[in-house]
Amino acid sequence: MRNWLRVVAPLYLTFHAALGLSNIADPVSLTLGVLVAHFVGQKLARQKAWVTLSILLGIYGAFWGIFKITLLFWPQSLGSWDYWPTLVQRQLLLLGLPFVLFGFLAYAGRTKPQFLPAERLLHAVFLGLLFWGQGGYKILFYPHPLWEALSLCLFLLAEAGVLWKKTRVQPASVWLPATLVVFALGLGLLWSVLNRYEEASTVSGGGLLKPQALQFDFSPLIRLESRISLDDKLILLYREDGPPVTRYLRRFVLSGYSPQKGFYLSPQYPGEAPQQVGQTPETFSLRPEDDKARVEVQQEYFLVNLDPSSFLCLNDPTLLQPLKRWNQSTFVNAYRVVSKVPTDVLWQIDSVQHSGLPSSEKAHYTNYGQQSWLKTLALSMIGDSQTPLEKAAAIEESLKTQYWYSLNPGPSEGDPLKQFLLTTKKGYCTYFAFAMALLLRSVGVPSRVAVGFYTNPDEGLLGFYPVRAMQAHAWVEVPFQGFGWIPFDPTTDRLAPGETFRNPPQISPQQMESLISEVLKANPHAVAAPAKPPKPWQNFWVNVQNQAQHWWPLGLLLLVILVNLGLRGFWRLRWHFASPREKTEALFRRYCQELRWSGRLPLKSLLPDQVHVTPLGSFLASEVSKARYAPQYTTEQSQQAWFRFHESSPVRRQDLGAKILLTLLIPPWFHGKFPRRFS
Amino acid sequence: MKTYRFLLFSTVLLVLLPLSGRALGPGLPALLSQAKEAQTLQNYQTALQAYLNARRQFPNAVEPALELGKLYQSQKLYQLALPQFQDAVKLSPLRPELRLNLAQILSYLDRNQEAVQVLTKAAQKFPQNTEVLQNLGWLYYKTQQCSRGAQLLEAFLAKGIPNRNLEMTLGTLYSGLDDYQQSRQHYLQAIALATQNTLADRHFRSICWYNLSLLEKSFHHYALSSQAIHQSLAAEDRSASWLALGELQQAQLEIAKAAESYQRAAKSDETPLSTYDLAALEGLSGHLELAFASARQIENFKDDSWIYNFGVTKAQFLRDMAKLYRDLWRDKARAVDLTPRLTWSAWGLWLIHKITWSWWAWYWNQQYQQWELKIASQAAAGGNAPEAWSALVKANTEQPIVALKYLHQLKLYEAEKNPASQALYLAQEGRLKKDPSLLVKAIQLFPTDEGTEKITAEADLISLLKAQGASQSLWYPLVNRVFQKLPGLLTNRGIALPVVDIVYGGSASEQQLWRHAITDFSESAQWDARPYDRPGVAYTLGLDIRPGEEHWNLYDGKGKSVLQGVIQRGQKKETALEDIYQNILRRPWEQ
Repeated sequence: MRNWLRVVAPLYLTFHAALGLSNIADPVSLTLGVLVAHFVGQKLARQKAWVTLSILLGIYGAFWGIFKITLLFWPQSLGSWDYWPTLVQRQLLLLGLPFVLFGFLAYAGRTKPQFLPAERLLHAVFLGLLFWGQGGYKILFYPHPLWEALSLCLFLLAEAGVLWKKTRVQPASVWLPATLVVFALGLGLLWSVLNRYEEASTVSGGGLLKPQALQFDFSPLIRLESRISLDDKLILLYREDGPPVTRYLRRFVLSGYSPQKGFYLSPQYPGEAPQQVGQTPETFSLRPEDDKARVEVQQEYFLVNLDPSSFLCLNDPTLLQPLKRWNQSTFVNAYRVVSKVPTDVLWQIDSVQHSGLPSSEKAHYTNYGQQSWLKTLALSMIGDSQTPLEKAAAIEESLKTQYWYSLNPGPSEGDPLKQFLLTTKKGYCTYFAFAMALLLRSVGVPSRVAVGFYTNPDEGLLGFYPVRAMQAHAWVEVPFQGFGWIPFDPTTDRLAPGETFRNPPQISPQQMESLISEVLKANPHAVAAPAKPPKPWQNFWVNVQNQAQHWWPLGLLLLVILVNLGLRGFWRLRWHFASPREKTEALFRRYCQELRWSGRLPLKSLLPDQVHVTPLGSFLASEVSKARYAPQYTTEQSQQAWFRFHESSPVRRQDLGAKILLTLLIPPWFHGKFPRRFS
Repeated sequence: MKTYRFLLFSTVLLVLLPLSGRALGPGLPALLSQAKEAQTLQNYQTALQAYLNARRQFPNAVEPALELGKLYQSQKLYQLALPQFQDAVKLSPLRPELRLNLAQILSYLDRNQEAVQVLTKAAQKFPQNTEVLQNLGWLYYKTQQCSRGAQLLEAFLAKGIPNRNLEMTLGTLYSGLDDYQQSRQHYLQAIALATQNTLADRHFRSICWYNLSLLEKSFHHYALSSQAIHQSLAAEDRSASWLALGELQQAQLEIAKAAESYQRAAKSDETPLSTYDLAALEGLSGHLELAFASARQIENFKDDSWIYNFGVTKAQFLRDMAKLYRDLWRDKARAVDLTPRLTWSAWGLWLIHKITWSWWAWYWNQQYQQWELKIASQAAAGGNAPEAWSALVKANTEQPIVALKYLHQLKLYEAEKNPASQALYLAQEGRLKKDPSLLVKAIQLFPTDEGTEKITAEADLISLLKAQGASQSLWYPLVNRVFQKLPGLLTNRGIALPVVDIVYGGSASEQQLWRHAITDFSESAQWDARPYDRPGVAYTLGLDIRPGEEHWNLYDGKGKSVLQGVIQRGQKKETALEDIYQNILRRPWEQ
């Protein structure tokens, strides 16, 4: 069994590597080549290492020899056979390293079992190299990242299977603490890996986007990072009629501030609740007094790589209509939003003196952590500006003209914002938004930070616009009485000296076309409003259904585990109410089952004599005889069998991995086939 | 009773009238005009809805399908446009322009064979339609079926109806058949039919002269090609003509002029061709980072519809891209040998770069060969054997036994048609056989107009001689020659620049120390600068080490200082030498 499991990893790695080189490598021939190498390596287990290596090299050399000799006698006439030499030579070149390497590993693992962990480690390194920087990997190989994860799980299971081996019985006092330690270490490792992954992804998402289970969403709390990079992964498409214009698609507004945490979400304030897309239409009321100089804009959003419940909209939404989902959809969610967008307002708000916020909220929106240096700087920037608009415009202008844009603002020794504003003067959008919001607050003008995406009007096709991770952006909103929150974008377009900015290639019309044609074909309609507002559990159930479209394989696995755990519970319950005789018989059945699954006995045939392979088997067999045929069988006798079973059942003799797997996946049968006669 | 009937009648009428009105709805013209108005305002959702309504309500009308197809086409959504044009052809099979639209969309989608089928049927149905014939002829050219195309157009022109478009296409088809006389004659005939000074005629003449220039260049008539391209530019300032001029200048080794022409072409170019040529030129002259930047710009061209109007197929363009990347990575992997390696970390970095860049060069070479094989099979299927042979030679450079077979065939084929190509064949044979004598012969045969081919052959000869362990006296004069004409080509081959150095000023012991440092440094960086004089070396590096006045100068063959710098006081000798060396490698005097 173990030898069969050992072949999985080389084949998996070779096949995927060949898929990665799809234009030049032939996955089938390379995988077959590695299969041959593996079995040659296994067959040579009794040879010395250098002999094996020589034979492997010899076989590979023989391939080359045959190829070269064939070329020597190559026909002089012209024909379709002349297409072959280049193709064959390429496959031979590509096969070289995997052939010798995996052939030798197969030999080493067979000859010296202690080499098996090292072999696993090597495989892990290859796996890491294979997945290293494979941005479009899942798109190439799998329709969804989950499939990639599942195939990876199978690979890891096979790898773990190779390592399971029988060891001598350990008392619970030894294995239990050891298991706990291993679990704790594993969890710690997992935690650190996840954290690292999250940080790296946040950095690659422009400092704003953070991953959530293979998809992105904005973080409800933003910090100033020392370095960010830009990822051009497609996040969503939106559709809007009319001449193309740059839009600011808002995900969150962050108004809470503390110098330690940065800006964060404050859901208790109006318009700042974490907005999610539900399954029913929703209306949002814009304060009538804030309705001046706004026009209605309708947009449809089609989310690709974003958390499906994320609600993006323009400032400010009035109506949200989820769109009906369609089968085999590429999009994780789709909805329509009607927003009222400020237009040509600057000349109208010029003389507005008040924010229009209730006095209870004003303190919240003007909190800047009482950092006096901010106020000093803000006063120097605004000069003799009087109105909130003049102050906002002066600060915006200063930031745009006196500071530089940089993806690499550099590590800070203290407060990164202070370093940005007073020393380095370079940063990315979040720095500018932080700075403007706090500078405004320090001179008494309420403000908040908005995060979302800016859009590129030049990329539109048929009114559809792509939005990529690198378009994540932060800007500032300032309230004006009668006009509501008005956006300001203080981020400069002056690139820091010595830095370059790579404009990523546009999304190809072919990629856009497949997405657009899917939408046009589905022609999704808005979901109608229900007669009664939905109960929370209804929404929950629909969310589960939505998620299940992508996550059903995992759900299936979970179901199997749950059913199995339920059966185990049922076994315990039956055990509790069973008579001493039944208890001993049930124990014996469980013993037989575990014996089969642990590989000690063939799965399908369990002959009566074979139960004696362990002392526990002999003991239980005699106990079952007593339970069946003795005139009296007491509870004490049954309990003794139970203790003995727990001390030395075959499962206890397995490694931790086998034990967990058996517990989670293999149901315990209270009744079932088992031998009636034992001796 | 009468009142009751009247009331009943009125009620029924009142109910039916609006219903009948709704059933009729707005007419087709109204719907189409509504859609077009929305389209003009970029309200695409409304426009789409109107077109789809029109298609639903008037399923037998051709206009909604046609207009919807055009809307998709204008938005570069060719897959969506295709079914609309197919429907339009079904609905109105007697309109040839619909078939032309369909063929064009198919070609945009790189489905040229299907486009040929559509137009073949159209030509059978409308044998007098010259537009159909011209497009079919053009597609025959693109699908390597030149003889079939030439027969078709000759048959039409034999009827005595002059047509300049057909004449021009016929010229192109004959150029594909390597029939110089016929091709030239038809191009000139086409030009003679466009004599007016109108915009359309000038545009047409410009294209014809441009095509003629390409023909002349492919037959190695550089003077005629130059004349034709200048005629083309005089008729109209087209980016394609600037591009052709640049290519001509590049062939003649006028690198700066070629770069200027490419940049001029790029200004109004809607295709990636000028950027491609610029990248290739930058690569050739050793400015690899610039070339990579240009190559990345090419990746930004996502719409391939331009390919329809040019004599390349998508496979050929992808082949060219693979070649560009192969050459750039290969040159980078060779040039890294010139990096100074004075520390262990420098050695480590060199090794990593050498392995990764060589891997990328190998990878792109495989891609290139793969595309060549595909092009060969396409050409063979179309009956264009010479094109297939040429592609098989390029695909089999690592299998000389196969490549030489096809090279021989090609040589026989071109010997009578294009005698001037013999030098190219000799050079290629020399490379495949790794025979320096053949390369030497080729170099002697290359005319002055083929400077780039000649200098490339010289650089290849240097590499070959070095690899075969030939004496330095054999290849060193060539190094000097290449360095004077195109020094970047040497760094691209990992061949050190021929610079001798002179150390003067300071004490004798200090001079001795500097010379030792230079020797050590030269070994680590494969730099050929040696502390002794060498005849024929083009450049001299002078190191003035007088205390307080430490500086360096690079002098050309005439003794003119082309580059100079200061040696910092207290700077380590190795560091100072590395600075100087990097400065020379960048060759700022060239830019």
